[in-house]
Amino acid sequence: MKLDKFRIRFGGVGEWNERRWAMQKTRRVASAVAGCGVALALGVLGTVSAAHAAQPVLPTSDKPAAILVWPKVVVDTSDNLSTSTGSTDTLIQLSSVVPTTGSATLNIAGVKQAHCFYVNATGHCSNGAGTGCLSSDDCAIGTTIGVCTPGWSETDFDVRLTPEQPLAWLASDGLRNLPLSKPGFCSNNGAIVCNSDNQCGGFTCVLQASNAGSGVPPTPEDPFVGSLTCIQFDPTTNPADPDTTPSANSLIGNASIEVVLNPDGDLDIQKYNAIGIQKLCTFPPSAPAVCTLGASTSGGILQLGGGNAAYQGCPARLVLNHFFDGAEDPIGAGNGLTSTDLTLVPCGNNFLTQTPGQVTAQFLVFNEFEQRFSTSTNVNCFYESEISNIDTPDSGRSIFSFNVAGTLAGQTIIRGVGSSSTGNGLLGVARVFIGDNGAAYNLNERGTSTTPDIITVP
Amino acid sequence: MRTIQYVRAGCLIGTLGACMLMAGLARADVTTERPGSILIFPKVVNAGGRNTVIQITNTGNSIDNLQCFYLDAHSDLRGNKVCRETNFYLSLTKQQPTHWVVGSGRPVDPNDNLTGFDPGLIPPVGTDFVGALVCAEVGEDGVPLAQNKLKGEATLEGPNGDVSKYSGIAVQGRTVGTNSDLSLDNTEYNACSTAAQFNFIPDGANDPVIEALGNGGLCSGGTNAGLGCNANSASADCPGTGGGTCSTGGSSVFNTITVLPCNLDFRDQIATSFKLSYLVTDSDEQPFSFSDSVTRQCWASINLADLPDALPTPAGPLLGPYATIRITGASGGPFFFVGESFHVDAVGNRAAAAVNLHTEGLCHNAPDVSCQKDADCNTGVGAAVCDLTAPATIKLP
Repeated sequence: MKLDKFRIRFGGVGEWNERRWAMQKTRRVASAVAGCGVALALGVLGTVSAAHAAQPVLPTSDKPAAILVWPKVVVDTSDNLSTSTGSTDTLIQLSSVVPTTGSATLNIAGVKQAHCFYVNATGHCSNGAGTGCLSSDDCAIGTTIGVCTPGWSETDFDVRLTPEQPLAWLASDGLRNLPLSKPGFCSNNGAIVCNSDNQCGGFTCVLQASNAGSGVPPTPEDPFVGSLTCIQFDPTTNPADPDTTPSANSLIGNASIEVVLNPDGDLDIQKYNAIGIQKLCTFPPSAPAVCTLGASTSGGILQLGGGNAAYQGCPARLVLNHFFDGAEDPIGAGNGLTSTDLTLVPCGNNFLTQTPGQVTAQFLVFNEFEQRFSTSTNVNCFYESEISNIDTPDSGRSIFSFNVAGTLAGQTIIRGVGSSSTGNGLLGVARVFIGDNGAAYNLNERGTSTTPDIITVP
Repeated sequence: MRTIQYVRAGCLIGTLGACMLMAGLARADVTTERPGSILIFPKVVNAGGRNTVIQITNTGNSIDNLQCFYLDAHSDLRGNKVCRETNFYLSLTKQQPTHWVVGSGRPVDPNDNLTGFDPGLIPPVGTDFVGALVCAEVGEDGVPLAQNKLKGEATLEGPNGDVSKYSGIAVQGRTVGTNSDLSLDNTEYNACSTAAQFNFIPDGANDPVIEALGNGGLCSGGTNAGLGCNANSASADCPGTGGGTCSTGGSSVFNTITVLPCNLDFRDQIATSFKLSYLVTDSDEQPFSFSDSVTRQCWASINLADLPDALPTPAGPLLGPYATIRITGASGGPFFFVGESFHVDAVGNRAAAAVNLHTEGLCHNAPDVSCQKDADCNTGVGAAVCDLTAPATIKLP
């Protein structure tokens, strides 16, 4: 199924984002929230002299962080979705940057736990039980055209990463057999797995850094469209809490959306960096760093930005450089027309009560003549659209259309507006297409949201 | 150039009643996410069926003048890099995006078919061009200026319509001097990152998505013998009397890392000599470290297949399907980096994906140890200091 770049999409993604989301809960683990922590800011101001290693003030896709967000994860192995250009899967890469040492004890202490949440934004057709969809375009089944009923559910899991360990998995498959699965082995027989000397019949249990306790499930359905958020936890606490140790910002990640273009089997790979949100730390001249700043995280309420923030705030504005949709490829007209696919997710989410973030996204668009246009749309949990369908289902009449803007290159400033704690900031990723071939890239950021976003975890 | 300071303060009242002074400063190194005063595109290509579209945007509300340099690093007939620069000037009105194709440049001609205000005369590069593009904010008099309004992207196209894209690396200015030496030292401009990290599928290993969904093998026997197939649908892909079979393991992945030194001398056109150090870690947490044995000049596109310790077994030492590599300067550093992965199926279909690398620091007291902060450097040897950045100079004419 080929992507129809400029079809009229009355039942498009933008439309079903206007609706209230139905919510389902498929969590494996749930626990009570203990409240909002005990910390209170009293406003004692001060400045610490610059250390060698200080901290960025905005979410970052090129630095390690405590919270990673992959805004777009796609599994559509049978090429069912109208937005797919072929059979699609996503390779998730996740690594720790905690340095490896020659000490097994330090390496064990350096194990980090990523507590991750798949957010499933796949809808389902009213006329075909269980048929996944993103819009009514996907619900033309037999002679009927159904309604795509939106859904929102989350699935959580844990991954433990040893120092500097690179892990990866296909979103469709998950990861069941991790490379370092043994917590330890008996000194008299390396084949005997142990956790303590008691299991070794008088011999020593040689402990090592391991991935024990990890398991990545496959995405809950195929087709699947949604996002992934991983939060760095401290596995030495019981139960594990968000990490506040000096190495609280140790995760980096990427996603490669890989498409096999049917029917000839040609390939398309779209790779982007996961967006990182750092735990706030001080970096005093005398080590170690202190990463307990801001509101308590032990209750599962993670405050991003605002007064007494525990994590960096989300950007006040995202900046997207793009080609206007429907222009000819400047390199060769025969390569096809340009289009840009934009994915936005709210910074905040309540994974405990299954309340997705809801944000109004305002767009300010400039073309190469310095002419300015604006529009807006709602982002409920997850938003994906070709940019020329953001403001109208008739892409040829869009302010993001080459026909309207009149130039190839454009700049769009995206501002999240909301009033709830899960509805202020936005994060996103873009994909440019020329014909059927695409490439993903991260957005720029400007300013910091003055109101906090909250992520609540079970 | 201004310093973005991040100052937070608070007194935490908890059960311990402890008070804590809290503060932090903006991390001072290069960025792929925020506008800057110097914009770097380490990988620009017009060769081998590939061409590059450059997008640059003025994110500010006043005019922005730029001086740009192409660094041509293609190899001559004797195999030596030419390391030649070509400069030109641009002028962007407020919030103006612009674009050009490097193979054709952009004339100043309001009647041509290139849309938008022409930002200036942009020369085309040669047909065998590989190298980099560097743009710096300057005033109308050509003197360096730090307004931090530049952002940009490079789109690599071809062959066969393939598309690959990355963000230009921005260097933010602080207090820029009036001479034409741009000091990336955390005083005039932010300094360069000390090290970079790239997650990758080792060269020559299979691509799991192609193996599962694409042409992961070739038909043997049947009417489609020799054609591409997928083992999960062998009967459909390889039909014929008695049926054919479909092999597996025909896909592969290759990676390149493009390196541009932060020390650039466009004034005297002196190529920077450098060597790199590498630390590869596989999924089993086995580290392998090594360095360049030969000196590189001005720019490099490194095939990870050429690094024996970055290959999977049996060709190399790496266990497991995934690995990560940390690159630092052994000499001539620091550097700007861009990574690119090429995925190939059993019949030769190919797709590329570029990505910006993650950056990190190295411990001053233990240079083999990566760090984000001084506390990571408590190795018991010397004072724990994390060098997130290293100074460099870009010399303009």
